[in-house]
Amino acid sequence: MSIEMETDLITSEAVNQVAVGAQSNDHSAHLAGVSTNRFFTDAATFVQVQLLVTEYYKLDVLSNFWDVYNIEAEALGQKVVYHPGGIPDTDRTRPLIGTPSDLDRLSPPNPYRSGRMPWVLQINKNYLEMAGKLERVYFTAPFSLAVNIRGYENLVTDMFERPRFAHRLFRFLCDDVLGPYLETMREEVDIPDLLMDGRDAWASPPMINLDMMDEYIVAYTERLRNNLGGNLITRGNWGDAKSRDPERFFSQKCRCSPGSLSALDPDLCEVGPERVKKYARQHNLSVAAGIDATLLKDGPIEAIVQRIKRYIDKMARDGRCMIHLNQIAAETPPEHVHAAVAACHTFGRLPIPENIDDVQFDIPRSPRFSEFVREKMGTAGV
Amino acid sequence: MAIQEIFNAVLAFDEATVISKTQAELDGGTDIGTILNDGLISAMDEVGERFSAGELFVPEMLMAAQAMKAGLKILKPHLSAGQSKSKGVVVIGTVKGDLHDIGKNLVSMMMEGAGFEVVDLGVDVDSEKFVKTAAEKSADVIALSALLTTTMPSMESTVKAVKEAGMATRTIIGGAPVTQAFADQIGADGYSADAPGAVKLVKQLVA
Repeated sequence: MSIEMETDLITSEAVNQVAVGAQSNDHSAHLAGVSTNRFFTDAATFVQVQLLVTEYYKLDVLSNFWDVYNIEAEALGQKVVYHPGGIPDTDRTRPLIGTPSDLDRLSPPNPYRSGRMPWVLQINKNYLEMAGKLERVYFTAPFSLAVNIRGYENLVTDMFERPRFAHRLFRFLCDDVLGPYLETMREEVDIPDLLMDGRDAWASPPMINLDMMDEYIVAYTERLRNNLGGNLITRGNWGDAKSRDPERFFSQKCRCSPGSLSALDPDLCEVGPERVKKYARQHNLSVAAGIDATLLKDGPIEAIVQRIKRYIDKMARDGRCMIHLNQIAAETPPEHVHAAVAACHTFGRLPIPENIDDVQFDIPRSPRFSEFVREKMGTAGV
Repeated sequence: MAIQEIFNAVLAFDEATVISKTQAELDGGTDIGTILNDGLISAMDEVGERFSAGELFVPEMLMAAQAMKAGLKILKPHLSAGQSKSKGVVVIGTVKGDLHDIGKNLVSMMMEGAGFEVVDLGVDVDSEKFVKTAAEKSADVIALSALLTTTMPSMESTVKAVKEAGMATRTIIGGAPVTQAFADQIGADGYSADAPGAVKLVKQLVA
């Protein structure tokens, strides 16, 4: 089993069914009626809300995804804008490294003091304390971090015209920024082999070509993994359908995240689950299948259920597939998420019948989040 | 022959050659319109075609656009009123609440490469600014970009503001979470999934 499939399952039921997890952050805040400013700065609130959301939606994998892409950039000094009611975002229009010489003026952040790194350290401790376990922590993968502090267009120009500078930037990010930060995260919870899960949505075709994937994404993920003594992955790449050579891209992604092939909508839908599963089977990989965030938001429920049913039918019969609900938009109706999770658990109960149409599915009725919280905690608010 | 070299240099992302060849053609008395249309603009058309066919990725498109802009910079001071007449005016920006600018910048460069006058308002732009600028510049098209689902309503309010202002300016939208269905729903005049598609769309709208 892969790193992806071995860890994080929080229910005993999950071993008998296709597990489902979700990337939910501003949606969680919205659901709980908590301001995003508080949610993204108060560790206790963040963890409490995420644990409640995990339970409310009956997710099999703990929801603990913060605004991952901002933390290291902000700690280095990059401006991050806190939108009222929305997810914070790096202001890439004013990059920290405006010219190559700016790199020489940058100091590595201090994980105990810089930006919201202390907030992340506290979140990890809170999860360990409140959930009793901590299976992984998140960080910004080197390429996406480089984009956030250099700006995409500058970075691309560097890669073409100043490759020596580009590599110096990546070495700085791996060796002086991410390495010490990740070591500190492990030390603070006293889990030396804690899985480090780097996210790299910027490293996605057509925003990069596949030669860049080799030279900058795979190479620096492996450098970081070697520096940290293993148990480190980067993923979150989309763009399989735009890669011109999906199988080559699959193999590159698997070097970044060994043992598991992650394929996310809309690319998964466009490339086709059959092709993804064929590659996974040939290379003895489990599959993480990401469901389209726009589909989840807009529905209708029947289309969401149909998409999940198709993926399970084509990819989960050997039990080596989990469903991931891509970044759930704040305004996604909760009934859509409940239906998605129920579809995973209903169609994904192992063994899956030869004709999946034989499986009866009923759209679940679920309480409002406030009712769920009131029943659980005796109070409606968080 | 030398025009072909400018064309080839744009496709090879060779900014230095684009500059030297463009300057050489200018000094040699070649018609500026020919350098512009057959060298620079044709090359960007080709880049757009190759991107749409999946042969080029965004980094290559970006580098080609930078090479094209370097050539355009040399020609601009020499363009007469007739020669510099743009194919139309496009006001572009990322909508209120959204700081993502890569897609918007690419569309902007491709529009410029296709001969349009582009007024780039940047990111986090409110509907009033779109309407005001479009009126001041007599814009043919307002192009709205968004990456976040949470900022898609800003597209709707901008399209609504344009209509309420009684302007003839057309509106187009683009960005990762946006679809043709959403464009139809909010009453935008068009949607494109990528930069070359946006250029084609605007060409159709101003034709």
